[in-house]
Amino acid sequence: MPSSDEPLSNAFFEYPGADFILRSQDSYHFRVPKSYIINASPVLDKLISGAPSTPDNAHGGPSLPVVQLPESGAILHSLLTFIFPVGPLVPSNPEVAMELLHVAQKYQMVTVLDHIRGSIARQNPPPTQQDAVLHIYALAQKYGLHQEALQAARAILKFSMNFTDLEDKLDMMSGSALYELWKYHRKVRSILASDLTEFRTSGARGSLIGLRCAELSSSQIPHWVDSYIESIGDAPHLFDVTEFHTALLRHLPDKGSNGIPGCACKLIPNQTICNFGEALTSVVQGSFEKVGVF
Amino acid sequence: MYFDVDELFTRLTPLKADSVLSLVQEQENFQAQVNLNTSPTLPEPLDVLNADLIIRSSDLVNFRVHNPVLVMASPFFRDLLSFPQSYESETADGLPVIQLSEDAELLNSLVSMLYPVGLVIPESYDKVLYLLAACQKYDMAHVQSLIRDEVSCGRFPAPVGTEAFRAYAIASGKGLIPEMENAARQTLDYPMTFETLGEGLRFFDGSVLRDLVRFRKGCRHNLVTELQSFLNFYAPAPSSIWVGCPEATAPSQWNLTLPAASVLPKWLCRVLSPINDLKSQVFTQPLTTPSNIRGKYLTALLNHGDCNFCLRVHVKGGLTFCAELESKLAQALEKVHTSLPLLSRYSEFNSLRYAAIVVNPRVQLT
Repeated sequence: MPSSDEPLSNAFFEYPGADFILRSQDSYHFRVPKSYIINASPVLDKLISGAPSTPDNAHGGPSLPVVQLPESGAILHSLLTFIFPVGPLVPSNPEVAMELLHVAQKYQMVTVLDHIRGSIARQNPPPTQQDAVLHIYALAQKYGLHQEALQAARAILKFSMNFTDLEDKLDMMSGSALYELWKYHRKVRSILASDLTEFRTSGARGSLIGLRCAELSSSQIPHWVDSYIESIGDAPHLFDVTEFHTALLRHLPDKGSNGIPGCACKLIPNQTICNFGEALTSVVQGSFEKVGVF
Repeated sequence: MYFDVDELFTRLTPLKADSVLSLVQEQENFQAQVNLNTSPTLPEPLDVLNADLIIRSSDLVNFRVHNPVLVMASPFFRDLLSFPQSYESETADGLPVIQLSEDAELLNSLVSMLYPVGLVIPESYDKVLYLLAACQKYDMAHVQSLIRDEVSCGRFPAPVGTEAFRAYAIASGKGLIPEMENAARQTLDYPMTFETLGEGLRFFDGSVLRDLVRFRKGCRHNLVTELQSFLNFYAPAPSSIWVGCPEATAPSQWNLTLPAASVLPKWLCRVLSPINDLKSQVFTQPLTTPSNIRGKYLTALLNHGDCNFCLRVHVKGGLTFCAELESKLAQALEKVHTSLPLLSRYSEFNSLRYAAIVVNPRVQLT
């Protein structure tokens, strides 16, 4: 696989059987067979068919028609590695990766787009830090990448969304992109709150049946569990195993005491917590997936 | 003769990345968005006799004007019209045409300010801002000043309530520094949350929103510091008049470490120690500002009940105390600004742009 550090001039496409030249915005030439390109992209197919034949005599060999594209040589080079049977050149930098996806999307390269997405996912795991995820979201918005924007927006649900926490990150994106993100969060919160209410009233889908607690809610689950589930509806970022255990610790009395009479929350079996966690995850993920378009 | 001023500005504005496929619709033309919500009826242009020039709006309404009037009002047009122009000219009724990017509604207001006729008042504060921006763009300082006077006098609309957030965004985008500062101060009287801003968020550039966040935090810091200074109860501090309320547990011997809450009335301490001191409430609550402190003071005093001491103090010096509070809080706010980086950015951009026009006035010819 060519390295992304390899100078572009050393990595030109001089493909055997080339019958035309793609010229980048910064004047790099890629000699390629037309058949690969037109199969990969209906947009380039039209562009190539409609382009006047502009011979390139610079190399002294047989002249080939040239099609000028507005992308940089680096991006075209990377893109071509996903079209031809060579090792794909996956950008390690998110800005370039998003630009590459944008170009593939612009030229309607459906298969290539999947290939690039798969390669990026393998090489660069999705970020988990708030700054990085917001950056990806902003780039996805900038480049019109719906799938990436949605993935990033879902990842951002893990963080609180208010001006106190976002202050230093606000200049990453336009107000319009931020507004769409907030609308998405609002919609998710609304659906999540409704689904969680159903989950609570169903007694956490039976995952906590038989649990003895001194303070049970009307749906016969411990009151602290009920409150914890409810809190996720208001703030999805609280959907976290640590937050669950924090809620449990708040419920349990001081270590020195003998506990609340009749309460067995201290001794909840791991399997019960696991079952509850799976049931809750299923509800939360289901709610997230209901909001797909924004 | 045909000038396309919009084309000129487009060429002089730094190139932006291609955003055709963007998921969000960037609001580059705020004015166009504002006009979507209003009536599309085009205004009847002012009837100007013996006009020798036409300015044409983006929606193709011709406004007949006098070249000398335009030249007098705008150094921009003075320079533009003082150079010999291309011969591929467009005329209408034998008059040269200058194509502008502003719509007819805005130009109608603008032209009404150049002649001794009734002013055409913009329908909303957003439109006032676009009018001011056009004056700034064409270097019409006098007209801009006139518009600001009309807003101050209440004849032109001013921002109402949470409209201030959007006004701030538009004013920032257009480099209207006084309007930006005023709007930013007005936003302090409202919570700054995603719910409050709502669709108005679309008008913001990310860095402008960040600046407003920082401005609010800076204001909160200064306001809280100033309010806390009023907890000083030693004469001649303004709050010393309140010492003696029977509900405060006043000691027989004062000492320097005495907490204010044990000497000053509790209701006053609550006013002077606002809850928005808490970090999380900076954005979710309105700040205590010069415009709302008097209301808070009076409400707290009324809730204090039948305390003859506090009522007597209020009658004797309460209004002066409030005025002092308002004045100090206003001074605290004046030390915080939103716009210094923007000011320098715009000054530089405008001077470069203007220099380019003067050096090469034909650059905009189509």
